[in-house]
Amino acid sequence: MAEFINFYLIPGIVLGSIYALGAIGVTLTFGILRFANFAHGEIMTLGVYITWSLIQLSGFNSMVHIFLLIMPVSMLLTILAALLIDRGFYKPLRASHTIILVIASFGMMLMVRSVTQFYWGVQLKTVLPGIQPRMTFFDFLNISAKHIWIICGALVLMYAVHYLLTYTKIGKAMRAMSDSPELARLTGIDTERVVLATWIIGTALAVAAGVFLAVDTQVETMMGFNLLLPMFAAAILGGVGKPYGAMAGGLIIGIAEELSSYPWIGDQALLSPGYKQGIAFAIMILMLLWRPTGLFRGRSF
Amino acid sequence: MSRVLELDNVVGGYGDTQILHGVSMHVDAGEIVVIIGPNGAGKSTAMKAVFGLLKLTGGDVLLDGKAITNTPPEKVVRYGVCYVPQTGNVFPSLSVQENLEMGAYVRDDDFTPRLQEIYEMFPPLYEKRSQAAGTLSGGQRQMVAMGKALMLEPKILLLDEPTAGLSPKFRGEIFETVKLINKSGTPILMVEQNAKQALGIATRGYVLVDGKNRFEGTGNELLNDPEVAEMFLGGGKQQVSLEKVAVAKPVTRKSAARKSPTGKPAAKKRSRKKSGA
Amino acid sequence: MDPVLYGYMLYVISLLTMGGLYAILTLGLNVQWGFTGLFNAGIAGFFGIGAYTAAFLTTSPDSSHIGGLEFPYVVSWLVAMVIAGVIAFLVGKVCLQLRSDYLAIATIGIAEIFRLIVNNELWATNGARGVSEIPRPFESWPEPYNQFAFLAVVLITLSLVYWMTEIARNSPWGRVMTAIRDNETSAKAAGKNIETFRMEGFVIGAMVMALAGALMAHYLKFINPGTLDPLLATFIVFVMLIIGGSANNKGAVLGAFLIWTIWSATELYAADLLSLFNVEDAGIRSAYVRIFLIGLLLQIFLQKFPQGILPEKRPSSPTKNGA
Repeated sequence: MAEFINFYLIPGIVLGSIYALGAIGVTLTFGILRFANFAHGEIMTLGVYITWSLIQLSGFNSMVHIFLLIMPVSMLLTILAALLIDRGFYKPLRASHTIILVIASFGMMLMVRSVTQFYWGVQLKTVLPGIQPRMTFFDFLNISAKHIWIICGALVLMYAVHYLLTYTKIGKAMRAMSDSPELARLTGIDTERVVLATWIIGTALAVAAGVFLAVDTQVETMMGFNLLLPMFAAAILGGVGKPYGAMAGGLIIGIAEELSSYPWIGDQALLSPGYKQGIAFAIMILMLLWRPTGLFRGRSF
Repeated sequence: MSRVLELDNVVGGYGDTQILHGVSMHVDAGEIVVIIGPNGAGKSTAMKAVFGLLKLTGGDVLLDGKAITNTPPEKVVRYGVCYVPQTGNVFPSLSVQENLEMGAYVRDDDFTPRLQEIYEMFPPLYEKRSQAAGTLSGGQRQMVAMGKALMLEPKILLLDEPTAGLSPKFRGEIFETVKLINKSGTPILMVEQNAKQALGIATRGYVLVDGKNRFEGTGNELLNDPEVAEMFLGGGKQQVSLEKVAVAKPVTRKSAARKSPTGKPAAKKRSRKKSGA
Repeated sequence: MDPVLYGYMLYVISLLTMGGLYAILTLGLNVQWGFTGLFNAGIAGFFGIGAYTAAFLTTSPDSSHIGGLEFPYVVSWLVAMVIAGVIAFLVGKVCLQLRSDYLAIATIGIAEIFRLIVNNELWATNGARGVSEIPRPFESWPEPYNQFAFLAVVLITLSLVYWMTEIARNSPWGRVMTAIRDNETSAKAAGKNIETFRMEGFVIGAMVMALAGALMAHYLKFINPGTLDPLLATFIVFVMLIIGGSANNKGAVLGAFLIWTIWSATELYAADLLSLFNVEDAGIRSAYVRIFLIGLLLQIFLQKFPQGILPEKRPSSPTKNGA
């Protein structure tokens, strides 16, 4: 039991939280800007590399410093990059058909990744040197400190998103625009402002997700792309345009992935670890076939 | 009597298709003005033209005498014109209250008093204020849509077929609501398919056919006009045949002949009423 | 022959061969995207099916992977196309009802699944180590004649595919496709069975892609999961089609040759250019610069020349689905 919780469930929650944070940005872009942003993963990667550089520059490498001091700065810098990208490459195409924007984001994915690879190179890097301490609670719960940080950080950020969307004017405007951009325009809502907020929030969350993943594993140039499919799957699972759906979807997929390697039947893992990535995809396809609007009844197609 | 809104010989359409071929009408303070006509006559299009939702290639739209022709919707709202489209007129996942709050988006003052007024005007909305607007019945959703538009205390309210798709019982309620809104001081321009009932509450009305003015007059005059009655108020839903329209009575005095130069306020016109049948 | 000139000649042959292979691939995409309006972001998958099938069927027996049946070339290509067609049919049954961006996500997922399988089922595919010693038509001929011969194979195949897709485009079938792509509602009202047509477009496009994959396997003589890289097997094809001119077979072919030449030629100069600026690891880094430039080129065309170099001549609707 303890093994199940410590080595499968908790890592699942950690992974799920990372997926959830990334998926919120994807679902907001899907709902408000109305296209699937294939470059979202690369923004995440960029944010991680910026964080890494700041760590090298400042010499701060404890988790407290990384999460509370450095990450906010890298969020700001990455947001700046995302806004410039929107201004240069997405805004001119706003009136075009969705698929044109998707293609542009495809192109952006490669452009951003090539910049990252060019500037930082492709060798693996680490954010946290050395093995991290594990802590024990109640005699059987055994979590590493970084996992506690990640889960708590994710909860804080998710609550912040919830607060923003429920209690602030711009948050409500975002939900309104996600429902209907046409009506939002007719109502006098400042649509460009909402777009700005969408990029800012989505990017900040993506950077957080990326840094959490980097802390948990390592820094490498394909990390964002590898997260892309699970993030899209989470967004679709939860219902496109529904941030709470993305949170739930992310957690479900993350936990499912980790639990798939548990030896449910006999000694072998249920699913060979090499196919873990396939789970997100399988869930997504099942969702699209069974209930395309997702768990939280998001936008249908 | 002050003229709140005026369309002066507007010409326009979507892309290559021209729909409006010189339509004129006006709404004065305190009035309910109704636009009726067959499908495709350009009724909704005329309304959308006011709100900047299509490109006008000729003519002018004037608000309080000032030209607002081809102003984009975001700005028109700020000038005090509020538009309730026929469909998609509420944010379904937002609560009733949040919908109303969004209606007040362009206001930066405290709109709580106005919110209270809206709730007093529409008591069922207060009851369901925390409910998602998408879960309400058609009639209640219309109420939310109208309440939302009223949050800005607009100079004029544009309603596009408010009773479309509603059962007869609710239709009556909506028309009563429209009267109520008007009584509280807001002039209303309304496109309606339910011509008879609409004319029943209208101060004046315009009949548009094929993107042109056909008839105009007070609500009663149009209700009692046999030609109008034959076309639109007859027993069944008669299709208006083109020959009938072509040989109908000549169009009465309308402001079509005069074209005001863009940008300059139009001179005051006296509206002539259509003489009896 | 002068060795430098000889070298250039071989290089030009390779440019034309690769360009031709990509042209076939782009024609396949054109059937799916240009004709039918289906955004298949999983080109790499069908391409890979063709490549691996051809590899399995034509190689000699080898314990590292399945197959090794030493089939004749044309037979194995036909088999590859049939298999790709069947898989496309199954995929299509599930995914074609999805709207454009959802279809993109689903198809990219499928391509990734295929890559996962290839990577994991080592007994079948030899995983990352790949399938090697794939035979090539005419390889026993003396150089440079074997290169010319294979180029001829590619160009003949390309001509056949072009000819057939042109016929398809101008046929009643092709006209229905355009109608569906541009205005589904009215096409439906006219009584056309949308699903069947879209499936046909999807399957045919997939089969052409598999053919390109099969030929590529022979050309490269070695394939592994890296051959199915999203950049070089999917993204670049979209760039080729969009820049060349969508919905346009001539545009597809033009785009393929043009972009491949740019991609390949920049390889010669990028490293040198970077060294000029004292950039470390100029060789490796030049690849990233080239990718960036291709991506940038795409964005420029999307914004300024969305119709491509050779715009579609058929009168299509002025705005595409709400543009």
